[in-house]
Amino acid sequence: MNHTLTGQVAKSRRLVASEQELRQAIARELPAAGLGDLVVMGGHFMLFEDPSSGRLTPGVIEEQPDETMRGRIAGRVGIFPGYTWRMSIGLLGEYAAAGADVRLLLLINDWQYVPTGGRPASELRAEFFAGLSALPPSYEEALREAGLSQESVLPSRKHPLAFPETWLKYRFQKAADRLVKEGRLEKRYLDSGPRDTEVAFLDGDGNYRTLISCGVTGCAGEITEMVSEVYRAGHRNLLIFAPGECLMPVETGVDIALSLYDLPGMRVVIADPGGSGEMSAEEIYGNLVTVSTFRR
Amino acid sequence: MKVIYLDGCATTRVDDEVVDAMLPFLREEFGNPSSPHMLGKRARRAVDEAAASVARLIGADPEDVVFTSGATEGNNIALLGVFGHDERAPVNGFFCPIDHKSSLAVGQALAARGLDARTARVRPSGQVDLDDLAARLDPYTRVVTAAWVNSEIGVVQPVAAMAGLCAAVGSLLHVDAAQAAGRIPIRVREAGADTLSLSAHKIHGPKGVGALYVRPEIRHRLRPVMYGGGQHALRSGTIPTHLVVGMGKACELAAARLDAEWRRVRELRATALGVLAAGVPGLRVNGDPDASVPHVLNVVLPGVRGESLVSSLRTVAVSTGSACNSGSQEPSYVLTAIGVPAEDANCSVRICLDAGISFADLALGVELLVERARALAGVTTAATPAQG
Repeated sequence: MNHTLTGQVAKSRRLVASEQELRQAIARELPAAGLGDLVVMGGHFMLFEDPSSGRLTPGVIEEQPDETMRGRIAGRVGIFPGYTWRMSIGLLGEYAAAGADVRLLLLINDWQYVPTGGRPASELRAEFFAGLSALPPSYEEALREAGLSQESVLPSRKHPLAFPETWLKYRFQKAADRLVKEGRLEKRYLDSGPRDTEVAFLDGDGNYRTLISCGVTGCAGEITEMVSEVYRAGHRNLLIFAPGECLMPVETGVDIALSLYDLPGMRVVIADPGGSGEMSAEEIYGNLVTVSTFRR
Repeated sequence: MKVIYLDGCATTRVDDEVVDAMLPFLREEFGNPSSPHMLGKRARRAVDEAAASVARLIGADPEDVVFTSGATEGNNIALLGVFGHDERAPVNGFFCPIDHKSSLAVGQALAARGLDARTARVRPSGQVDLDDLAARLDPYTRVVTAAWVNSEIGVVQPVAAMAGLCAAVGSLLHVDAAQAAGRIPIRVREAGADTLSLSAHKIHGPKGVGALYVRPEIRHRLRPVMYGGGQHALRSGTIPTHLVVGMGKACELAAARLDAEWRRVRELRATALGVLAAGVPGLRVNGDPDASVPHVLNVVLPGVRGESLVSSLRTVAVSTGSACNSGSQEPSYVLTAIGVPAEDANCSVRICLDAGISFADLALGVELLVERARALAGVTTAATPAQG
């Protein structure tokens, strides 16, 4: 395990090779006894276009009867959404039994595989979220089996059940304008063209970390906003299950949120069990899983 | 599970002969090379022999070799050290925008100190634009630096021509040869480089050791960046005999294998490109193959985000054209600097070929990569910068 201190944010990172080790690492970082509040971000999924209906559908294998769709999701993210949802519910039960106030957070990637041709992407997204009055059935069933309900899911200010990524990106862009004016973020012109700009954060090590480039908010920006929203909702502990390929931007977003928004007492643990097509726990842990902790 | 390793620019497996050479210096021959007794003298003799091997690989004299912890330290000593001596404004330095961060970050640090750190212009091939450099060098230029072989696209810089331009204005030329050693012939005197850094683990040596060549005529123009017992005037610290011996052996092997490995890697490259081109519609090669070493193959796989591909490959090790260290999975600064569009850069992967791999393993590895790329391309409907 390595450990560093950037500015006022303490960071540590370790690798684990089994679900048991992952649970032990989480228990070390977020000990159930005395943990007052916790949000667990699990079950994160992407939206895919269902070719039969032309609508957006959750990229969760368990939700898809169609073999073609199951194959697409398996190849892209594997069992990550359902696996992390079930693990989150298990943890929720354990923490709740120890007296902690625990909520689940469902982050939905509503932009990456949303078609840009045909109907406008914004219309497809709006239609999906308007119809999301209940969790996907497999998610609902897992909750019910654990003796829980949708009440355990933390609402966002955009949706009662979910945190849409485009909403977070939009929120961050608005916040960034204000933060640039306040001098807490820096807007810089790029060598590539006089109209190309980026908004960057100067971290405690003196490095510029890009959050918005040429008007496009990266994953780090949206995660920054998500952490801020969780803090605003009164929670001081956050466990994030993120796909492996997103680990670095998620870590950056968390690091920046803790520094930029001044969130004293906030502790965030990130784990990346799969998300790149792994179809079994053996595959997930065979690749080793990273567990990172950030404390302010 | 066997992993087909195609990431030799990141590091290489330590050669068995290197391990064998190192082991006695971890066991019975553990003396400190600075000690005056027999164990110390034997260690010193081994260090001297290693310096001779390093020097033979680059065409230098053994006394011009300073052992370091790697090319990063060598780059720092050369680039910071040259500004540590007689630092009077105006002074400036030229940095190559596609170089390793151990050079670029020094440029940024110098700029933060108020020094004029300039960025050399590169052509779409990745080679430094010599006309532009010649026009912008001036008598206040303290140093120009470039990686002889670029680690992402394999482009070979015109070092001798750059040295000529530098000499004309009295500037030093520092060359990062971490990716060049063992891949192209290096005759440092003929090339005219003033300082040159090497790293052992890129040539089947151990991690944690490297070397810096310093042309003796310019030695007085460098100041150390770290002070201590004075084991070497430019680099204090106890010499890690076993690592240095490992580096010496790795250099000896690299020199002996250079020509044969070049020929074999060219054939390996053709095999890899053949499999890639047959399996990935619209495949493009980044950079200019005619100006590059055959060991590095950087390709655009249209519609397939490199980060997704690399993280989902179970038994093949390659790297991406994305630079996650900025935190937002931005396109590689190397690829964008040579004019590759951001979307293509995000869909790029780098394959580094090692002469030791079999044709069968290479073909299998690239086929697995193609298979995975096709699966990912099948779910892509738009430009996909990142999953969040």
